[in-house]
Parts: sequence; structure tokens; C-alpha cells
Amino acid sequence: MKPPRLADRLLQLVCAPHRLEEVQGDLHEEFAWQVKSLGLRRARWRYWREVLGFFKPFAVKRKPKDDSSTLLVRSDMIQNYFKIARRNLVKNQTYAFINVTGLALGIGAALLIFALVRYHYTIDKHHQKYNAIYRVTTEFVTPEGHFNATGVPYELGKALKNDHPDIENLAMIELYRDPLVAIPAASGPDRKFKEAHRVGAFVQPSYFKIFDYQWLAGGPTELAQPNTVVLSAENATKYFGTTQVIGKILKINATLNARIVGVFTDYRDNTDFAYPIMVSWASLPEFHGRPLNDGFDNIDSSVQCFVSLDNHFTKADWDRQMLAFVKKYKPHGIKDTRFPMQPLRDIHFSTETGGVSSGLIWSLFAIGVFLLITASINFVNLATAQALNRSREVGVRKVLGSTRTQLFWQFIGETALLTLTATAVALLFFQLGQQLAKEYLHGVFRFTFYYDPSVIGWLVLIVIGVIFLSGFYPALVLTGFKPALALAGRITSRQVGGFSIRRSLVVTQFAISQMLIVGMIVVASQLQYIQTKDLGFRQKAILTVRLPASPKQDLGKMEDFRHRAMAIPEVEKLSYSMSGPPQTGWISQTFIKFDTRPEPEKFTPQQKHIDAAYVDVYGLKLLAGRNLQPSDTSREALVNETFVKQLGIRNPAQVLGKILHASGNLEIVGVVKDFNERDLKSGIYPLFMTTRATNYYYASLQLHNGNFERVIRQLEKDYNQIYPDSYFTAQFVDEQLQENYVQEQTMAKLVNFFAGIAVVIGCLGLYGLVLFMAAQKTKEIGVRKVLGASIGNILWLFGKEFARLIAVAFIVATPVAWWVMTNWLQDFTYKIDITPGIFGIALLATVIVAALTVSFQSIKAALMNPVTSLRSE
Amino acid sequence: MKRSYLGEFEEIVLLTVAVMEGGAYGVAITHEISEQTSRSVRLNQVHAALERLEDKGMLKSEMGEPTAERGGRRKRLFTVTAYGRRTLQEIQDVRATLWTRLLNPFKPATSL
Repeated sequence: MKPPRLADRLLQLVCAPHRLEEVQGDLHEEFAWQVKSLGLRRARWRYWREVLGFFKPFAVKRKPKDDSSTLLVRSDMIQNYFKIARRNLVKNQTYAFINVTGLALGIGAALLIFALVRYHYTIDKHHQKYNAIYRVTTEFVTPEGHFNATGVPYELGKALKNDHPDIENLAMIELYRDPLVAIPAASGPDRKFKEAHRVGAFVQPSYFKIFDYQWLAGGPTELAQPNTVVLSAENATKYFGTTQVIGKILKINATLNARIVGVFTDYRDNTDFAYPIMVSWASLPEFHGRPLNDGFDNIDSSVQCFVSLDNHFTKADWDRQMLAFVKKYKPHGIKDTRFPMQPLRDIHFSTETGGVSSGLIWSLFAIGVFLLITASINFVNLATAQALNRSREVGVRKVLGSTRTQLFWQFIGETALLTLTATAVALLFFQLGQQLAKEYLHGVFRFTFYYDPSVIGWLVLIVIGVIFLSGFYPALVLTGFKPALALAGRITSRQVGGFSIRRSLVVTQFAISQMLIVGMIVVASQLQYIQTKDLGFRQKAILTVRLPASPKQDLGKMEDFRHRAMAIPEVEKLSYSMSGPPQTGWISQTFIKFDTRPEPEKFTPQQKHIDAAYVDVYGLKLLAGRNLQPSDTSREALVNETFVKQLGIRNPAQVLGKILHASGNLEIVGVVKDFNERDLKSGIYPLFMTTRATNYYYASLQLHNGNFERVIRQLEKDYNQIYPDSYFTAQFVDEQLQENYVQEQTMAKLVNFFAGIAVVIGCLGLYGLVLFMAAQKTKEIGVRKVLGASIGNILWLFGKEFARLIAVAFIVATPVAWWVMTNWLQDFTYKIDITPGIFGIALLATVIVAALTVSFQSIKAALMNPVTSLRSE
Repeated sequence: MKRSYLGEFEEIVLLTVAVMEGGAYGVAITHEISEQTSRSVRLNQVHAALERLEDKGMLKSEMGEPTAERGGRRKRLFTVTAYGRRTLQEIQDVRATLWTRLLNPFKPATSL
């Protein structure tokens, strides 16, 4: 016969603890009495009523604490705190300056970093189906490992939709760079807009069911028909001065007329898929001037396939059924081709398919945390070093009745004051950083910080974190002084938290600096290595010119262009080829039979169409046999080493003269040394090359030294005369290759920049510490000098301390840095070795930086006349 | 005359505590009042009145012995302070004076 449990709980929750016993006791006693007189059920009801009756202020109100008379917050005390804080700052301006600068640099940089990290993690998250969207990619299995291409065969979309009708939405998209838009004018020539560095797209209408777009006018429904296009508001306004442009006509790349059927709101900077001009997929054959390639052997990185999945068809379903799919559509690729689904959330971070390395982003994040730690360590060091000067104040306050809590909050408050000042400066740095980022990073990241209010949240978090990191320990030390000792001035530096804590903090700082320096060196030399690694072909002074994309190239015009180009004195050689330089987004595969072997080979080599000059222009090395004979049709073939290896033949000479059965019968006339067709993140795979003039879309011109700009102008003039309906694009091969690494380079630059700031902050703190040591040791130095110490002796007094700390830091930092950087390098197929030399350089750099910082102040101290230092008393 | 005034219910509670002579605690007071006045009194009302009276200094309390029916919880036993007694006395005096000055005292309704 217990009273209702729930009511009891409620009472315990609500009733003030110091009343609970009597109240609950009374209630229980009453309950027992009621049960006897009224029965259990009514008693329980009564009990509830009684409990609710106690929901009154008198019962709820908590007993006030005993020490309420000495409130923490009292306006006169606060005023006093402020006054003392200000006096201290004014008295120690150097320290205040060092602290504020260090904290401001740290907070500003950390804020920039966190905004950047946050930006990368919100990319494309605004799409409602974010977690259900996938891109189907092509994965190649080569002897060196796997690598992914963003592209898929044209056929894939149709086949996938056909075999897996349960896929919620599926859309194919083809990208084209640098669109040329012409607006037909009623009279006079068309107005042309060259959209350099922009990307246009051909899309299926279902694309807009997968990704979220907002429409200002029209919509995607009509996009099923050929010759229709949708534009972003920005572009519509650029072409027509208004967004009300439905029904107007555009001409894309001077070949395709398209009617505008929709205008969507502009992209913000947080997407990887910003295509301002999207033409209907059905227009593609007209655009290319030929039907779309069928079969599964041609892969262009710009032809991509997006799907959104629901529970009816999941990624797991697809992973299970993919092999059967490959077997059905590309039986000869069963061993080396896969079509995995890449989740949208991975796309931005997949380095293989052109994303940013999440490793670099996380190292940035780590640097941000390091920055804050270093800045806080400065603060702790300087504050504890100075603690001695404030021991009397603490003593007086304690004698006058301050509690330890009060003193603690006073010092935390002082830290907060400095931190907030630093934060104000940090916001200035942040603004500055944003401007710099806009100038130097735009086009790489396209990001704007203020889109995201979470930055404010970060700021608050950082500020609170810094206040406690830097304020906690000094406050603990200061408040721990015994008033008797403090007032008698008998507190020595030994009692001030011990020098050992300060030492270990300095060691931490040095260790962080050394790790960062190692990181900087490794990242820089890895990127240097990748960019300068011999790719197996020539890159310098080769200019590629794109020919118009038409189903069959006009051989006469090509000959004409060659004559005119060769007439320019700087042009040494000219080669036509299908895909320009050896490294491109193009992958054209085919299955083959070799020699007299009855079965098709089990691997799918790539094919390239090149002319006879190609080997020469790009400096490919022949291992056996000879170059191709000039020809307009396919008769002979060159193969690479890997091809020979894949055939199971050791000696390259053995394949010479054998027949390769591909789309025609080709005689293998030579074997070229392997060259990197993809960037260095992936390997090399089997390849054969043959002539076919009608499939050439690029001219590669090898140039002498000379005025390249004039050459390009002349070429443009010639080109425009030969191909009036197209437009001229020329790019140097080395520059084109550099573009592959733009993101990495930018990230590496950022890492270096922020790591540099961390080192600078560390130096600031070191400088402050030496300053303090010198002030403390003034007398000691004076005595030593009088007793005959040389300047060298005195310098060593300072130097030996820091030399020891650096040595300890080195021992701590080296294994950590080694482990972290080894992990980072795992992502690269071709990577540098981490040699002891790198650590040596880092150690040397720390020693030099520390020596420079320390020596300035210590030389000053050593040179001081002992008369002055000893006289002052 | 400067003293705290008592409400009617407070007065009854104070009187009851005085009557109960040391055995006064929440439940007992409640039962006593409802027996004597035959009005329904709830525990929380009594507690609130006791609280106010203690604040005014007319009652003091101490914790008593735990009992089983209270789940081992102690009672809070109230006693009237000197000030409380004086207050009661004064109230009584005021009333008595007023009664004596009543020229035409109420006759019991049973008289003819």
C-alpha cells in the first residue's frame, strides 16, 4: 500500500530539498490514514491532489546559500577589477601586446580555418536528397591498382534505366568547357559571349528531380525536347538584360540553336555542380554533329551519370548486381571495368575524381587547433611568469576577505578581457583574410564566409575555449598563494607553479612548431615531386589548339591549318591527334585479339588516334621497332610497355610485326616506353595508338623560343579564317597539367600559410619569455659580469635552457610527424620518401628561429653595464 | 501597537499548535482542525500557514522522531513561541473587551 510512485517522483522534483522530508512524511502518513478510512483508490486520488497542492512558491523555493552575502557580482568590486586589470595592462604593455597579438593571430587564423573546413563540409548539402544522390563512375582495374574516372559511356544511362527500373531518378549529363554563346541580332552580326572558365552542360530533365533548383521563369519540363536550354538568372541578365527571356533563342558554340525554356536562381558558392547554361540532352547529336557513341568502350570524363535512390533500390542492390550488368554490356571488360556508385557526400572529397583531399582539410583543422593551443600557451607562460609581481595584490585581497573563487573569477575575467580585445583584432584579421581568400582562392574554392551563420557559433566556442585554456592555470596559481607568505614577499618563482610546467608548455610549443615545419616540407616536396616528375613525355613549349568537333574532320582544312601554322617561324613541328596531350580526360577502350590467338584478350586496352608526328612532338621513347608511317587511315599501331606485359610477353621486340585485331587489322610496328596518361594519382594502363585522320580533334604545336603571344594571335587569325563558325582555344600543355594540381597547390599554400602563423605565434611567446627571464636575471647577470663572465657565458645562460627544451621537443615531435606524414602520403601512387634529412631541416629551422628570437633580448641583457643593473635598489 | 496581524486560518493553526502542546506537526494539526471546525482542510494549506507563522516568529520547530508509516521520515514538531503566545493573548483580550462593550448581547436562538 504505497502512494502513487509518479506523484512521489513529481514531489521530489518540485519540492525544495530542505522541506522534502517533512512534507513527504506528512503526505505518506496522511495517505496511510486515508487508506484506512476511504480505501486505497480514493486515497490515491487524494494523494495526487495533495501533492499538486504543494506546487506553491513556499514549498518550491530553494533555501538560499549561506554565503549569499558575499555575492560574486558586486558593482564596486567589478569596477575595482577593471581598474586593476587596466593598470596591469598599462604597466606591462609589452606583455599585453604580445598576448593580444598572439591571441588575435591565433583566433583570426583559426576562425578562417574553421570557416573553410565548414565550407567544404556543406558543399551541396542543400539538396534535399543529399544522402540519396549518387554518381555512377567508371572504375578501372589495372595491374597497378584501381582508379576511378568520373565519366561513363553514353549507353550506361539507358542500360541502367532499362535493367533497373526501380532506380528512383536517373539523369545523364555531359559537360563542356568554355561555352561560346551567341545571341542572334535582328540586324548586324550576332553578339558573342565567351564564357571562359565556365562549364555548360547537356542534361536530361530528370536531373532537376535529383538536384534542387528554383525557377524564376519556366521550368525543366520542356527540356526533354531537342534545342531547348535553361539559364541561370545571372547569365540571362547578362545576355538580355532581364530574366524574362522564355522563348528567346541562343546559339551555343555557333552550331546549336536553342530556345530558352527556363531561368533558375543563381548558384551560390556552395556547390560543385555550377552549370549556368544547361542544354537539353536531346540536342547532343546535333551539337556533336554525329550520333552518340554506342557501346561501352568510350569514356569521356565529362559524360556523367547521376542517380537518386530510395528504399526500392539501394546502393547495396547495385553493388550486388553490378558484375552481372558489366557481364551483359561489356563482356570483354568483366575483369577490368566496374561501375561503382559514388555518394554525393564523397564527391567533393574524392581526389581521384577531382575533389579536394580531406586529409589536407583535416590537417588544416589540426593546424587551427594548434594555433589556438600555441596562442593559449603564450598566455599561460607569460601570465604565470608575471604571477610573482601580483602576489602582493593576491595577499591583500585575501586578507581583506576575498575567497579563492572570487579571485579565480577575477583572473579569468582579466583573461576574458584580453581575449575579447584580441577577438576584436582577430575579426579584423578575419576580414582581411577573407579579402585575401577572395582574391587568391576564387575560382578554386569559390567560397564566401558570411553565407554561414555558424561562423558566429565557432567564434563564441573559440573565445570561450581560449579564455579557459589560457586563464585556468594562471588563475589557479595566483589564487593559491598563501597570504602570509605573499605579503611578506617570500614567494619565490619556485612556488609559482614551478618552472617545470612552463617548461613543458614551451616544449609543447616547440614540438608543434617542429611538426608543422616537417609537414610543410613534406607537403611542399611531395607536390614539387609530382609536378616535376618525368611523366614520360615532353611538356615544355607545346601548344594545343582545339579543332571544331564535327563528325568527320575536313582533311583539306586541316592541311590548310598545318601549312599556315608551319609558316609561323616559331612553330617547329605540328601533330594532329584525337585527344591532344597524352594526359586527358578521354578514355577510349576497345577489346582486341592478338596475332593468331583465337580468344579475345582478357584486358581492354585504351586506344589513341595520333599522326606520325605525335611521337616526335611529345618526345615519346621507342623501345623497339619504329614510328608509324604517315597515313590517314589505320594500318599500323604503336603499343606501350604495359600492353606488351599484359599480353604476357617479356621481350618487346617479339610483338613487332604481329597483327592486332581491333576495329581493323593493325600491324604492330613499335613499342613505346610507358608514359603517364593519367595524373600521378593513378597508374599506367595498356594502350595502343594508330593513325586515323578523321578522328583528330587537337593540333599540338611544338614551339621554338620566341614571342608566344604573337604566335597565338597569328594562329587565332588563321584558325578563324579556316573555321569561321568555331572559336579558337589554345593552351600550353604544361599549364594544362598544372591545372590538375591547382586544388592541391592551393591547399598546400594554405597549410603553409597557417603553419607559418603558428610558428610566428610561438616565436612571440618565446620572445616574451626571454624578455621576462632577462628582467628577472638583471642582477644575476650584473654579478656574473663583475666576477668576469664573458658575453658568451651570459648568452649561454639563456641559450642552454632553450637548447635543452628544443632537444626534448624534437624527440617528442619526430615520431608523431613521421606517422602523420606517412599516412598522408598513402594517398599517392608516386610519393617521396620521408628521409631523416627532412627532420634535420625542421630541427635546424626551429633552432635558428629560436636562436634569433632569444638572442635579440639576451644580447641586450648581456651587453648591459653591470653598474646600472647592480645600482638600482 | 506594532505586531504582525494574523489571518483567521493562521489564528486557528496557531491556536491548535498551542493546544496540542508539543505534539503538533503537519498531519496531526490538519486532522485536529478538521475535527474541531468540521471544515475540510488540506495539508498544503496547513503547511503554508505554519511556514508563514514561523516566518513571523510565532512558531518554532524542530525535527522529531521518524515513524514507520511516514516511511522512516522525521516529523517537524512545532511549538508556540513567547511572541506567539502574547499575540494570541492580545487577540483574545481585544475580543473580550469588544464583547463586554456589546450592549445587546446575542441571545441564544433557543430562548423564547
